[in-house]
Amino acid sequence: MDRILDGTVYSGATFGMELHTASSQEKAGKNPVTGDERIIPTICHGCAYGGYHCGVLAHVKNGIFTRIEGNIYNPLNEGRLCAKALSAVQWVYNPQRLKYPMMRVGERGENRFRRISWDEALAVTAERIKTIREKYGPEYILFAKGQSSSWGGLHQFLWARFMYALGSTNFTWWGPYVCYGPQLLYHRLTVGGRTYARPDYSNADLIIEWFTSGGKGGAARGGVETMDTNLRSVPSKILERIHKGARLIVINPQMIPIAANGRAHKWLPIRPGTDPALALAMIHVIIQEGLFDKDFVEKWCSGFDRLKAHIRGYTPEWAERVTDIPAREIRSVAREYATTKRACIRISESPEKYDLQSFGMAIPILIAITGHLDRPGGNVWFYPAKHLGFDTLIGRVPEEARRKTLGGEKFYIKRRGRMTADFISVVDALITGEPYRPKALMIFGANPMSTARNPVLISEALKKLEFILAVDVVPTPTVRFADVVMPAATRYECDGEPAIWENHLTINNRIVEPLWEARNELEVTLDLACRLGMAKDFWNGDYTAMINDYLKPVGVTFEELKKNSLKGIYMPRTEQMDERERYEKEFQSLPDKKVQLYNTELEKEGFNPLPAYKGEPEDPFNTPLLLREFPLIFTDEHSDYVNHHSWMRNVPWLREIRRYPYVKINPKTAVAYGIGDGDWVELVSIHGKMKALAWVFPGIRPDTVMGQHGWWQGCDELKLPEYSVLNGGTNPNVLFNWTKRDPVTGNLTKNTLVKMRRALPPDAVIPVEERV
Amino acid sequence: MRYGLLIDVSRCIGCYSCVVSCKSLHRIAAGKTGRRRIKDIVRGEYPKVARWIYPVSCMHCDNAPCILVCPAGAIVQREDGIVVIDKKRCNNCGKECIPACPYDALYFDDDRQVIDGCDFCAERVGLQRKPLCVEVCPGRVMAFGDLADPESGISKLIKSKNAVPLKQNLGTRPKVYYANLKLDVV
Repeated sequence: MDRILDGTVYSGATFGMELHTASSQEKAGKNPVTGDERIIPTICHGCAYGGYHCGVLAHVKNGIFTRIEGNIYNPLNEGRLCAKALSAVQWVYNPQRLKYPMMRVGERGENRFRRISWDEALAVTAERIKTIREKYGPEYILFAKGQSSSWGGLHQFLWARFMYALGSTNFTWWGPYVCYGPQLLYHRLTVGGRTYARPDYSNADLIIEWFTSGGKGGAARGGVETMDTNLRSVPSKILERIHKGARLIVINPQMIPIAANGRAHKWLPIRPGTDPALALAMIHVIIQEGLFDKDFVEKWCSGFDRLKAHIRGYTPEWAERVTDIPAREIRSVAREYATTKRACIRISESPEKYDLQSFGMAIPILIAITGHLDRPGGNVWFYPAKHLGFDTLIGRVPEEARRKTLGGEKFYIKRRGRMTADFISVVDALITGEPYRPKALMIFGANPMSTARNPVLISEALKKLEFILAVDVVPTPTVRFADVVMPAATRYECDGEPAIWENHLTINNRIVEPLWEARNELEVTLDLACRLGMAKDFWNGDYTAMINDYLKPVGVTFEELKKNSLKGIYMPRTEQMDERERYEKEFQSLPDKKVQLYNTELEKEGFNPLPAYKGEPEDPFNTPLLLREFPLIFTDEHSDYVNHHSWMRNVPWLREIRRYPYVKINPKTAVAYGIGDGDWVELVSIHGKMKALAWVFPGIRPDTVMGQHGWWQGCDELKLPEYSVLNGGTNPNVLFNWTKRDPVTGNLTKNTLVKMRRALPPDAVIPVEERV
Repeated sequence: MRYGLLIDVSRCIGCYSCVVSCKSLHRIAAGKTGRRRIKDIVRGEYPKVARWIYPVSCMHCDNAPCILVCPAGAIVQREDGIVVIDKKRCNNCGKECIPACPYDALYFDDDRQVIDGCDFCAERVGLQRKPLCVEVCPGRVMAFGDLADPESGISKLIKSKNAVPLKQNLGTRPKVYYANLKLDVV
């Protein structure tokens, strides 16, 4: 089965699992290993739910969910577990959860709610949606989902179907417009494929972790996910490979954990916001020194000569001034990458940029011209054996309705078939009323007040709506703005979301009945659909029928999969999993069916066809005058392995590891500003200000301070209060420029300039709760 | 049988999985020191820095200072080498054992009013399982096994990796070994 460090081979028998779980998960039984405990296999939700995640064994004693162990049969984690999974019981039984449906009684955002029944909550919501749809039109209804429910899984299918059945394509969410989606667009525009060509860690001799957060996402994940691997770190795969002799290069303004313990043979502490300059200079070196894969370039790339001419000015000496990485290091990394046959690059959302285009294009160009595309140990397209899903009914939305998609005239949305709205256009439409002002918003597990830029603007936008439904596990700052609040169940209280990774099918099981009055969001959605007269399109509200429909592409039933939830079901491997060098197939979507070193599709749309360095809205080069007053570079290190974006800071075992919103400061900088480790500081940019606790850390650039988004929640058990997400609170998103957007995708910056001073702790905020 | 633990820090990313697994299994509340901690040490000055992240806990010393100093004689080493606190005998004074430990491995749990430390998940070991932290570790950092048997997996690994205990010079003869930890290298 699985080997640990000392070579012990584990099998199910080692864990005593065959004795109970496999024979009957539902029957309590005494066995020599676990006593009276019942052990139920399910999948973890710590990195998101609704998709494929680590396999866990939930222990239940006298009806109480007591703890978690790893499921060695799950091929993704093979029994490994991270801190988030291991503290699941504190997430489920957390006193800070939303417990009952509520209705707003005060002004919007005022935080006064009264408890109502589920029937009333659903009836009011259905009535408001129905009225708004009839009075204004379906496009006046918005839908937002968050990262919590994963991407491309059952939740997304159901909610898309819900919106399309209503007739609206204003299905929006925050992430894809500041995060993963825009980078993916550039990737696909350059090298085609249906998703990212991802690092094939297991076969690589050189691994470049480019501004990733080591261990971001669950630390236990051992594989590449089907949909959104880019959000996940896969440290165990990297560690395993390093152990076998692979070299690791880490490009990051701070020394992240994966670079620690002598693992990285090079740490390049890049100046935040300048990653494209490094990538362009690497291309420069590789072309100038003739280190590119001549056969591949000749056969599969177009526009090489134009790229070569374009790249001439991007010398390592130029890049040294911009990135603060010595030119000789840039040359050395470029040579090492180009001349190592099996070398892969992983980028993440962390270097998120206004200047995303140059970075988003330069990375796939680097991968392609060096012959690392879709070859073992390089960057490979990983596809599952099969995809799950049902018809979202998008075909029923007429072309004229699709034209009403907010942001639908934008290239990014147009290219996606106007099936989803552009988040920024939605916010603009709400504030300006142009081209029209939407009236209703249904939010399922999204928290834009914390995670979107800019929260002050978002709060204004939310106030323009006539009706907001918020469904969440916890009372987020976004819930504060809702008219109707519904308490969502955690996934440990829900049954049956099938998921596939590679060729392995698995499913989650209910561990305990929903606590308080929480309900499964999927059931709530079916219920709402039925109340809106759409029962026929929603399996007449039959949950099992929905799951079976979702499973149809793989020919397995809900019942069969549930029976096999300990080990899952393996589908036969398919060609698309194991084939490499699939250029003919994957380049179909590209002009000339070749890698676009010069991008004719973007040129046709009026955009720059080549990656040209621009820098960030506020940086030492673009705004040198500003630097005098705001002398430090600020960026966000994204999330880490003890939280999930803006979720889970209420979990005591996780929160004690990172108690306060923090900002990492080099000791030299701290001394210069008279700041000690553990002092509260205030960071001020030209856009806003926030507070954080100083973490004096020698492994960060002295000109840079790094914070983390998602901080708002208190932790009752540790007596830590809730903080504001608005200006002056603990939210880095108030610091960034909002108006300068990447022209192609609308992506926003995560880099700015700040000044810093010691400050008093931030004010506490009263959490959302029933209060008339 | 002499149970011991090998920690290969070249595989540790400081993810706190071992810390939380321990708290969840032994029901230790958040805010308490707990049986396991993560050390995160940064040496040197930017840009020449080295960061060392690794877990520490009771070292199950064969020559354990805590055993020697306990006035109640409540800390004992079992035949299999595991150092345990006999909760019946312990009067929870913590006055001697806590300061005596050179590894800061013991702590006082003020909720439960007990002195507590790692016992290698003795109950699990009795059931032929490994400590939970060893099983769930994302980096497969740890090996657990019999140090008395030169042919055991852990004994061979300690030899091949040149693993050594922490603060070896104190003569405490710990049974937790560390490999690839080079705190003096910047």
